[in-house]
Amino acid sequence: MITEQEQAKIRLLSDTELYRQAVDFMRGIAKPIPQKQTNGLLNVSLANTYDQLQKFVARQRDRETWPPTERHIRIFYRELGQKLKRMDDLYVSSIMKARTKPAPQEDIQTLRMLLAREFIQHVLAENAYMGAIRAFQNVDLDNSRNQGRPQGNNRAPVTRQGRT
Amino acid sequence: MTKRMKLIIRVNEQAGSEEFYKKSQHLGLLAVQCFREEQERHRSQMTGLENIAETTLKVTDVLDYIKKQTAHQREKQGQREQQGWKKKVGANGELFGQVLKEDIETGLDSFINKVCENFINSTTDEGKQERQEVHLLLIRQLIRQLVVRYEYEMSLIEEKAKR
Repeated sequence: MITEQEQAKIRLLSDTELYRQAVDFMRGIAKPIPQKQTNGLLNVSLANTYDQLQKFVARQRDRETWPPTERHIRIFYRELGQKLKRMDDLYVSSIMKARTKPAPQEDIQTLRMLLAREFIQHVLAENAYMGAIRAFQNVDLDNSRNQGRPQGNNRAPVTRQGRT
Repeated sequence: MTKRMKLIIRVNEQAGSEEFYKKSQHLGLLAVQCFREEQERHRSQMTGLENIAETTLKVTDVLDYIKKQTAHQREKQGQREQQGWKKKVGANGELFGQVLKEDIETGLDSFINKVCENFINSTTDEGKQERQEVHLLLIRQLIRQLVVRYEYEMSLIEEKAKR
């Protein structure tokens, strides 16, 4: 069982380190992940065990069928797998250091999952936000490109590139 | 007086300062610009924000909520101008969520520092957790004040519309 003190440490870690790391992580990927992928990852992180999460991440990373426009998703899963491993190495033993007896494997797995959930929650929020801000900036860019063009009534719809 | 009581008093002093009040009132007015056209849904945005701030134990839950709201609000069909979380309101044409997120991420730092100064040792684990709590308490105060200003302005608008 994870103690209240350990839970407080996870919350602190989430606020002081994991949040910033998740923002940097998504900026490193540079391109938003589609919603169907984020929904899948969220479901697995909320309803499954840490082992199942690792298997899911590895399966998505090793998938050979990503279309060229979605290659970054593969990179996302590769980086996520590595990140989860690093979080294990860095944080698990330090969070449990107050224990007088060695922690049971079940507690270690639970703690790993709690940490992974925190990180994934921040990654998915940043992913959605990044997509929204990008779309918002694209609209602004289109509007500025279209300024000064003739405003005829029978113009065809303007595309994202500002061409008809 | 216990340390926790002292902490709450120090937080309230900062939340009652003129500088803090200015910040929350500014955010309240930006919220009015964003949500006044949302008709029956406008209050639910403020309620959602208050609920998350009042119930969470993590600052980043509030930030994640703001990010998701900024991203997920659907556009109404046939609406020419963006409304709600997607309306440009900041001094440089930022979204409400961008301004609020920034204020929570870094805009409260000076107030947190004033509460913690000579009171909390931010280098120990315990001190870091207390600092986190101070941040969260200040966010709650900021959002409460923001929502009160928002409600006040909306009531004036509704009153005017009735006449």
